[in-house]
Amino acid sequence: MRSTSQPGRRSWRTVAAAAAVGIALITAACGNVYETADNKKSGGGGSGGGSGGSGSGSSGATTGPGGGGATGAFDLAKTKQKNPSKEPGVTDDTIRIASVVAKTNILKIPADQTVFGAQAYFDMVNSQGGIWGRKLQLVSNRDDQMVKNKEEAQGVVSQDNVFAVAPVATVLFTGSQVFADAGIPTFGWNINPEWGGPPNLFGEKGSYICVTCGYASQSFVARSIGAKKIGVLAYGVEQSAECVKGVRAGVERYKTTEIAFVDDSIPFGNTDYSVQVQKMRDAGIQLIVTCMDTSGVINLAREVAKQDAKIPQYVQMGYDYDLVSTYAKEFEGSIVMTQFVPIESPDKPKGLQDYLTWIDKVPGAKRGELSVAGWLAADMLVRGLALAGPDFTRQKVVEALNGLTNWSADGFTPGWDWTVVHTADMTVACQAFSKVHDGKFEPAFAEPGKPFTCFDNNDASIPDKPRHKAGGEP
Amino acid sequence: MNDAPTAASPSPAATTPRPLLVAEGITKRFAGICALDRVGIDVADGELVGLIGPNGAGKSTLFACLTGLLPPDDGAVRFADRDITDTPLHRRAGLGFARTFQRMELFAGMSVRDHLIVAVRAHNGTGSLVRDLLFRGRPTAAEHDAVDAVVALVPSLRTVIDQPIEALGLGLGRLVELARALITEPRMLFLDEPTSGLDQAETAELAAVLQSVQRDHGTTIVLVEHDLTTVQAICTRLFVLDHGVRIAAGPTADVLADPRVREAYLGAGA
Amino acid sequence: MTQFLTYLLLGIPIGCVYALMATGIVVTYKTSGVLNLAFGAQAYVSGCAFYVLRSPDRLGLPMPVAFVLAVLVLGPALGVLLDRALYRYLRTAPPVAKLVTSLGLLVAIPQILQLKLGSTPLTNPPGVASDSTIAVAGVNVSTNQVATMVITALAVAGLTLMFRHTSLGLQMRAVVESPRLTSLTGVDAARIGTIAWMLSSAFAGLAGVLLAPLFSQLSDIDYFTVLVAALAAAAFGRLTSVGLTLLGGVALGAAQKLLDGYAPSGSVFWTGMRGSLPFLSLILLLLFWPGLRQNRAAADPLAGVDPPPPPPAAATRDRRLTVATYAIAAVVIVGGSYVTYAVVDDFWLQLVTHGVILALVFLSITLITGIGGQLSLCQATFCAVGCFATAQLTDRTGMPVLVAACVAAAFTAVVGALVAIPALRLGGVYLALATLAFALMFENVIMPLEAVSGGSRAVRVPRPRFLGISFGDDRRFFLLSLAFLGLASLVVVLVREGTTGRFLHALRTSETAAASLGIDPARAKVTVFALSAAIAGFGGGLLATFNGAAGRTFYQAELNYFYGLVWLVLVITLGSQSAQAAINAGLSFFLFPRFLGLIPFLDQSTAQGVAFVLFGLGAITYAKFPEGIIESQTRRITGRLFPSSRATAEVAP
Repeated sequence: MRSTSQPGRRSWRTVAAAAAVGIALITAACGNVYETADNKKSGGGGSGGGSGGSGSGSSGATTGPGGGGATGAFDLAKTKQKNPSKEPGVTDDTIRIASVVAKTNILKIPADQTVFGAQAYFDMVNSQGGIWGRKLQLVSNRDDQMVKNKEEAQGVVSQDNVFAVAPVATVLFTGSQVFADAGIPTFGWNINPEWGGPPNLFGEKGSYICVTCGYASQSFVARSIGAKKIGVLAYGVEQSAECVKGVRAGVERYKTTEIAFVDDSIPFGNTDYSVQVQKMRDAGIQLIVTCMDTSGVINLAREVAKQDAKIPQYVQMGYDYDLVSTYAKEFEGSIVMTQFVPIESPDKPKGLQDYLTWIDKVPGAKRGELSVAGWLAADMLVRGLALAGPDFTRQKVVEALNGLTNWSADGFTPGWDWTVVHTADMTVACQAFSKVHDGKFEPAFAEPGKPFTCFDNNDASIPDKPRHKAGGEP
Repeated sequence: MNDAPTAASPSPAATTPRPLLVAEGITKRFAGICALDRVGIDVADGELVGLIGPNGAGKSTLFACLTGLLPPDDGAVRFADRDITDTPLHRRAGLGFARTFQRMELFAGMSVRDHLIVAVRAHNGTGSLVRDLLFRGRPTAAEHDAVDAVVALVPSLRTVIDQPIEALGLGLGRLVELARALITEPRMLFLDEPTSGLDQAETAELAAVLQSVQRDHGTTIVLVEHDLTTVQAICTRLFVLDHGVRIAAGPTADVLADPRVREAYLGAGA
Repeated sequence: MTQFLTYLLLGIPIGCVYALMATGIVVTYKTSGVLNLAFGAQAYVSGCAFYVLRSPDRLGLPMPVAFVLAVLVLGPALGVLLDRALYRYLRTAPPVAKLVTSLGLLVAIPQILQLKLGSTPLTNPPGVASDSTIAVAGVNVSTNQVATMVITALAVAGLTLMFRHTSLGLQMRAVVESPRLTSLTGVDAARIGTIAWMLSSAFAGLAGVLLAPLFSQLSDIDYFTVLVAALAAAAFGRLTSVGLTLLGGVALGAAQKLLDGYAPSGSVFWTGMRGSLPFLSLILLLLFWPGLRQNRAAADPLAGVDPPPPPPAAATRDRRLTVATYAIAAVVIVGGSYVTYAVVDDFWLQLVTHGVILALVFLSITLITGIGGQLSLCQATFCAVGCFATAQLTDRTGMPVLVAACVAAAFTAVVGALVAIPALRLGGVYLALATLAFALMFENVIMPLEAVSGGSRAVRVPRPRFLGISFGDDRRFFLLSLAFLGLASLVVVLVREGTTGRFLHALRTSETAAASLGIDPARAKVTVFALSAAIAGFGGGLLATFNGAAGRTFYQAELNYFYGLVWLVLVITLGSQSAQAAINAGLSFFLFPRFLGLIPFLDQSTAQGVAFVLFGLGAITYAKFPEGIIESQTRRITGRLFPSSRATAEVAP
């Protein structure tokens, strides 16, 4: 309505002018703080900073008093010397370690199995007298409930007084920068992009996840099972779409098969794959590559079985005993991939043998990918300690590990080059494959004693006889 | 405080009544039931007219159409020679409309004073978000003066002016509604059964207030009422509705004597 | 053509799933007046019960026994509990109060079940049939799917008959419209109300058991996801017609399958359409479907007959109490801030800072719900909009982050206004549903875009620098956050005490009277929506700079739409009308579970579950204590301690 006498109008203009000047002044006084070393607080603490960022690891000493070489081989018997230490988390007889896993999570991933895996390794080391005169002890096992990783990470750094964190296994790794800023050696299950970058974050299959890289594995698997036509399914979210791009790039490059069906915009939360399976059956698809989570993979498999379409899946993260025993019929003939030697391999490297010996002794532990991940995380920690010598520090442990060009945990993994895999893929990518049969896994496409199949990303095609190797072979 | 008011003589100002508000052919149906069937009323500037009829006759519906609460299915409402049939409710206040409600529509959680301040501030249009943020949202001296002026008109409110509305009884609540309407200095005041639930003293006070408002401020008043004593005392003209149809209109005494009106209220054979 | 028909046919099984959920919603609304968003949670309870009873790994009971126990015993029992303990007190409450109660249950029930069942997954849930495959009309379906379709059709038919042709059906509908009037005809309204809850809860149990085989493992979130998609079908049925709801559900399923079949891949538009179909449909139906929103004039004719409720304590605040509150608040704030700044370790510092920023976001809820009287289920979304806008602005233009946060706040205000404008004619529960649909669309379609959340790598956000002072240091940043919280509180108080707040108060308590005074409801609502969105957006910007990054992971962990519901529930519990309560709520969200976790025998995840249960159950008291628990109990206690404080009316139980 109208009103505003003259004084009112005048005061409006004054106010507006004053406000404009004020805003301009305030804006000019504002700026940004970009991360420099000065801004990091001493003693650790989560200051601002996003995930990822700083460069890859330094190439530190690869040879230490306890051992060395590209694989970081060491002899536990030679690591008995006890020197006094002022490092955080190191007491006279203990090296304190924390873990942060998503024990409670709505996806019901049993992430605490990684803790059991690490515990098994620590038990093995402790049974032989420990390392550098001290036993390894998991003193704090935090449950980040999937959404509180950053809080728990902060708790580890500020309250737990530990030397290292092993393992970290979670769905939403929001605390990565907390660990990175604190410089604390951190080891765990790499299913998050946040592992990549900081030199002190070590994922059990390297720290880098490249979703769009033209991996040869899909093309190789298709060729190996004689699938001339494959189908690709993905959710309509960005990360799934990137995965599809990777599959396409590989197929186009290696030309062992063709993509005869794509659906890359499946609504997240979809439970019904009837249309997609019908179309794939009609198109003569012989292998399905999925960029979906476990529930999507399961529902897809159930629909395939329901429609009697007889199409196997290539499930990159499918090495899960519960999965294939519960859905034995649905996954019959499907292929899964691991980046460690499958437990069913006839020729077991030392690392796998040790794992099998010690994992069964941990109450509640189950064999499987998760406990293997924990075992591998612990292996890196102990190896780093050994290589760092009796006057070990966090820094020395990190540097020692970052000098390893072929870390394989005694043949368990193909061999990761830590001068590379903080920020990039290795040129030669190795995987182990297993086929599902009768609700169990059988190693596939491998040679005796050489469980890994390797592809050189520089090759324009997949050789007729791809290279096979054992873990830790150069 | 006075004895029963007598029939008011026509206001000296209204020598040649001009229709201020004219409604013609108002029709409203609800799911097959015809609540109003081509009803028309006219009110002159400064008049105090009554709208009566038995329960369910459609009086409140007609009120709703006149004040903008309900759009009529057919017909037109003109105010000061402007067609306001489609003017939304919140714009009618700007035309000088104010009303009370059959079921009291008070603002729970506010004091009486706050009710009046909201009303006067909405009327003046001086409030805004920007002013609030500049620490100018508090009630001003002018607003407090307006409150005092209205309380002078409705003295019963003086003692309860700062009490929460829930602490008041029905009678005082109705007076608050009336005061809230009056503080906006309306040209047209619509009152929907304002004496319902009031005792004799409160009814008398209300009637006195209405008359003084009409006399001193020239406010035009339309009144829906059941209390025929009050109606007789203060209304100069009446309109009678029954079953959605206007059955009588004219000077008070004539209408009340009309046998059709008696029949509508009391049934055949009265 | 046959392919078209095939897709249609394939849509029927999933369409019946939607129809089943939606019918449950409609039945509950029709027979109790409650838009029961906790229906999915109730279904989850029966689904879990059936699993435990039936699964060969657990009790392994025969199917009929497990079914009867889970659906026909547990379902109605839960319904009786809900009615007797809660909903019978809400029979004459406005629909919004009932919705708030159901939100509280939505948060609390799954947590209660979680605490009871532990964290072992319930995988590969059994259904009512053997899950073998049979061919129907050239399409292979599982026996469970057939069972769902048949039972849904029968249920719909039975319910339609009941509502139309039996006196019980008529009585149930009558009780919803006017309990008093129905009682006058000799019907025991309380008993009918209880029977209504038993019926709708049994239906929830049925839905829970029939839907279980859809999922690879049982989780309450999955049920809720189906529920929110099914809301579109319920809207299609106008929340009254069970038959139309069935049609709507089947149509939704068919539309999804048609999109599956025909939508081209690689198109942003079609991807968005597939992801948002149920929510977009819901919004469009809410806005345009005739007959959906009842005429407000058709209210309970005897609503005014009951004696008015005792004056809410909000109106009767003793002066001394207010002064005392301010004094205590000052002490707590200064003392707490000092302790946080100087004493505690980084862990608690981070928690408190996070709580302070969240408190600022919660003030936006105070504004829109407490002062504006609107139930907005998308405040977390507004927060996310501000968060990502700040991150993108800073990242792409190098703008100072505080300036970016202000710009982002303005942008979020525009978004809020755009959401409010079409939603204006919706009120109450319909507005709430529209905001929920908006939140879901944002989460499913907009947030995952790389341009918004940065793809697989989060967008880095720097800390602010002001007048040369760097706020990279966490302790200084804490003080900065406190300053902003103070500013936002001041804004909220000024708005509440000023014209905007007064007008909104009037609109909230009697929109008709307020409009008759000349207050424009549309303008007031859009203004408060925009301002509330701005505050939430600014809070999101602060979150982004606090965290140092904003990306998909951050959104899923902190700002997902479900958290938005938990926030709302928590603020309402503590008191949606006062800034003080919002601040308490913000701090409590992080600190309360931690404090609980300090109790020796409680591990942290149990503490978190307990905290959520308490948050949820608190909202249930909304109808009795609209001013919130803290406020009402404070007055009650001070009223007892200092009986001289005048006009502190006791709220009768």
